[in-house]
Amino acid sequence: MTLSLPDGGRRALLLAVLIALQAGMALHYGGQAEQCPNYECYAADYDAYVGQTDRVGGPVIDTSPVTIALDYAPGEALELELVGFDRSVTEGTQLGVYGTLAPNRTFRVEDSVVHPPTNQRYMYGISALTMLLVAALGLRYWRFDARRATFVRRDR
Amino acid sequence: MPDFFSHVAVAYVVLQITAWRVRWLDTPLIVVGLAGALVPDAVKIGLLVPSYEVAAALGRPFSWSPLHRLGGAVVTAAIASLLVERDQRRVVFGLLVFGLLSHLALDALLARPGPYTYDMLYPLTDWPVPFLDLDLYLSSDYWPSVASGAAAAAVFALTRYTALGDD
Repeated sequence: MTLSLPDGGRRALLLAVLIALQAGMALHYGGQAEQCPNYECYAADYDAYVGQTDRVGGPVIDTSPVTIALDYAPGEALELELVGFDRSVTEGTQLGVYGTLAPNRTFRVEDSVVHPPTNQRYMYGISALTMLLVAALGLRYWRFDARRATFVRRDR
Repeated sequence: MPDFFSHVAVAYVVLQITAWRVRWLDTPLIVVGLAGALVPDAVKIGLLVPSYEVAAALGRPFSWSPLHRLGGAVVTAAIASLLVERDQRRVVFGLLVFGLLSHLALDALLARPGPYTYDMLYPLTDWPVPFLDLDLYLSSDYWPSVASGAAAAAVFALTRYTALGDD
């Protein structure tokens, strides 16, 4: 036996290229996201962005008036008081809003989406179960050949 | 996204009905398509290892977001398809790409505030595709999983208990 994988070299090379490509996109996208406008830019120089239209989102941290926190780094958030928003929400509810940055750290809401907290727990639960289901189906019809680092159909 | 289950159930309905006519599309390959429907959700790795932690470790800006966009999801599918035997790679890649495209299409229909979806075609373009912004459901709604689960159960039963699923 010369090589356990007939095309092992070619496969390893392709894998390396694809992983590099994936990493390249992650770095490029991360770099783009750091450019203004973003939450951090708004927080640093709010007045310069008054009038800016954007879609923003975050948890409700106060209900009278409704205020959301735009997290942009661990422990750092821009707090925006919503104007023109009359839906009833509780603290902790995830809100997405579209509208315009207005003076004094307020946000004029034109459109909004409210995620009820109990539904979010349901979504995480059913999503975790689905991952297990698909993994179980995968292992029912495919097996992992560790020697070749390859998934093989069980029927061959 | 709708929940993972809705993505998988919709992919199952389409693939299993196709398999009634297309005989080479057998169960092991349908299962690959179901896995494909979860490929863009590889982005959820960010719940375990947040982007900012990776960025801090690298000392450079970093984001997992491309995994949930066209470019990153196709690359994930290509990587996964290298993990099967050589003669299976083309069909496995095709099914993974079917799955991830159905995922991105269903996500486009999500309710979001504002008249556009998101930059789902990255890195081809940063344009926040306005098509399909139908605002049909919230990512946290129950009913898409109930409806798609019922459809999947019906298709499963038809395949199992009628001549439609016969080889």
